Amino acid sequence: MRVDTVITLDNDVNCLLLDKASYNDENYFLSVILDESEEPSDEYIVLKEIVENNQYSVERIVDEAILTELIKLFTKSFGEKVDNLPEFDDNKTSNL
Amino acid sequence: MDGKNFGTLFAEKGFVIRNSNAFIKEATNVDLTELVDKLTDLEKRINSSSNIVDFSKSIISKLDEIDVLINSDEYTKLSNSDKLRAFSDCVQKIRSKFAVVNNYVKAEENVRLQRNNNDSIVISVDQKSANLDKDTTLSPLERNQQVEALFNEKLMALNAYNRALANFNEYKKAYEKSVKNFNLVEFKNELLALANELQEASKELALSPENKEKLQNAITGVHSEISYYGLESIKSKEEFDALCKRYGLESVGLSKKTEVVKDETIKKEKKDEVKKEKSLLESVYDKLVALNPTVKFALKDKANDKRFDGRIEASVPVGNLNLPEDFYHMNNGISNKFSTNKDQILVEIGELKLNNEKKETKELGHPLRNPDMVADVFKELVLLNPDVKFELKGKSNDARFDGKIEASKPASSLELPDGFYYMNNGISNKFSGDVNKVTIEIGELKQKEEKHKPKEYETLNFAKDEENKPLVLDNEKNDEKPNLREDLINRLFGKLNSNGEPEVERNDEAGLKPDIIDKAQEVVRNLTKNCKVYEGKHYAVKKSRTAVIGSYAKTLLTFGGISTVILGAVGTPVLAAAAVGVGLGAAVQKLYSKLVANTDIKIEALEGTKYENDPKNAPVSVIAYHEAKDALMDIYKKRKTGEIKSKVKDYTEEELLDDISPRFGR
Repeated sequence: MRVDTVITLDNDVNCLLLDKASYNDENYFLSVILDESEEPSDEYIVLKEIVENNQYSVERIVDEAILTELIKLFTKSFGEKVDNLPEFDDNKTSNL
Repeated sequence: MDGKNFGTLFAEKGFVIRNSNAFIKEATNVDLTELVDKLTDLEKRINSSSNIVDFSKSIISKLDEIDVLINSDEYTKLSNSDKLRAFSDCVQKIRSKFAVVNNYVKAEENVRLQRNNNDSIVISVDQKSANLDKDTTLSPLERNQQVEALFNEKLMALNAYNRALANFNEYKKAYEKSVKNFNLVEFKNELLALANELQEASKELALSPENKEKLQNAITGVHSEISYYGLESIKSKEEFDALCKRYGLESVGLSKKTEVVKDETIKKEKKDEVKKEKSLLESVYDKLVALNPTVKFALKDKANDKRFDGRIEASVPVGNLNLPEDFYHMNNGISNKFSTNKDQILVEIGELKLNNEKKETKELGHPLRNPDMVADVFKELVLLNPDVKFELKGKSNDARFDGKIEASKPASSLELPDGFYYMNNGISNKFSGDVNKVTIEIGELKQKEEKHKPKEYETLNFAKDEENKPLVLDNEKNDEKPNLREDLINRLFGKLNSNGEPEVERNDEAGLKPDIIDKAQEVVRNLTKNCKVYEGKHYAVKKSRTAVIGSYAKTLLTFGGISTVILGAVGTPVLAAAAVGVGLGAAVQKLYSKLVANTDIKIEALEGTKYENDPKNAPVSVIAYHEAKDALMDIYKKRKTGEIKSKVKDYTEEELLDDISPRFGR
């Protein structure tokens, strides 16, 4: 699974994958649930990627010990994203 | 209607009058053209039948919903275990009715997923290997090991894809076998009986009143869907049979149509023979058009070669055409002369010259390789992607590709033919078991009127109901709107003091009251009460697609995600402290600075430093950040749409002179 993709789960919930972090050889994704009109909702979740028999599945993570480690990784990544943001140019907003 | 021609009309449409008495009696005051049209329409409805795959997907999805309802309800475990098992067995029995289709659908989704994965790994490995070649710092051993790792990565992805493909082909065969002797009525009756059984079993379960109602609605949904499935097809068949019986008609099917036409036409004069031949050619033309929706055809008056009865020109070679029943390919044409059909014809198939293709041939340097394969893939793409517009462009400018097809959607979102996978800017089957390998560039099809764009998340509306409300960036100045931060802090920590800090009695290291955990859990419940993704449950990924998202929008969403996840776990302040400890505050401040640069906009909550970098205050800081995220998103949206613009710089007299001086030699 890749960041910047929308995955559709088997219960028809769509999640936009915002960031990825690897912890203890597992991949985790910070994601936002999309609503019926495919707009991001206020529901953010952390998903663990599971690959079994060539089939991808995910599990929502609420374990605080894991979340604490992941939040550090996501926060660092967020800091890097902010550093790399271009200056806001009123005339060039298409890719901002 | 012209009474002399109705026999021909019925024959052309595949009907024979078997009971002449009934026909003569009933047809006296009837518009026979209308009757034929009606019968043809009904025949179409019968044959179009219902889509078992869509039906299956829908029922399985409803059963999944039922499973979630049962599994997530705390009262379920209070149910009698035998009754709960009876209910589960019933759900399983319904699922088993769709096992073959479901396996087929899942295998198809898996192939698509593996194909995407393989594609991204191929691109990533190519990139890494290019970087590796440039790296001069590695020792020979390190270099070899890294190459081996990349090789294995690529191989594993390819093997996974090939296994998924083999699996899919196996299930596809099983599915095709299962639908051969499919009896719709019997199938529906069995399902309806099971749906009734499910309804009865559900009454015996212990569930919360809310979920009980939801469960009844879901089961009713299953029942209705089964009831309506294929209804049009069944009704049309009944009506069709009744009309045929009433008028003494029998449908002889398409294969016998020309035979019947022949019976009628042999009685005509020589003049009519020419007309008949022409109509036969037209009939072949019509059938070719119907069978080859992506090919352009032109009907010509006469053949260039006298051996043929007529000429049709096509935009693809004759060998690529799907032919009507009984017809076969011959050199430069098609014929049915070896069929049992009495109405035989030899049709010359010529090349239809398309102006734009001629031009390309002159302009492009690369020869069109595998032209037949490119055309075949083009046809398959059209059939697999009915919502997408395609154009066969012939040659590609890029020598790596055998040809080019333009599509109104990106290659990554297309349904691909068996054995094909996505690659950068194109598709290929070079890793499939197919003998004919082809690599095709997929370009963007520019549409004149409506240009399709992938979903752009940077323009998303995050609060539709708030759309018309004025932008409030400083909550402290807003008397009407409740202050979210204050509200959350009040709920978690009690009242704020005059400095805007929580009035809490710090009786532990983290500075939180014991009852805060209970209150935090309440907040968590409120935040996640509608979330359909439950912890501890595995959800299969049905499909994935690429999202186009701007850098600011993505960063803001990531920030929203981090603050929400922390807030969700605020019962233990460890998460907040962890995030603040690795610089969440500094990053938020920087994001804020970039967003409001060159404007007069301010968010008071982010202006001060009182919430920054103190682990004991970390939960309070995160709440403040969480509150600010909506305001930040609002600023972003308004800057993007131009509602908030950069300030025009006010020059001092000196700056102005400095600015213009070079032009005046100062």
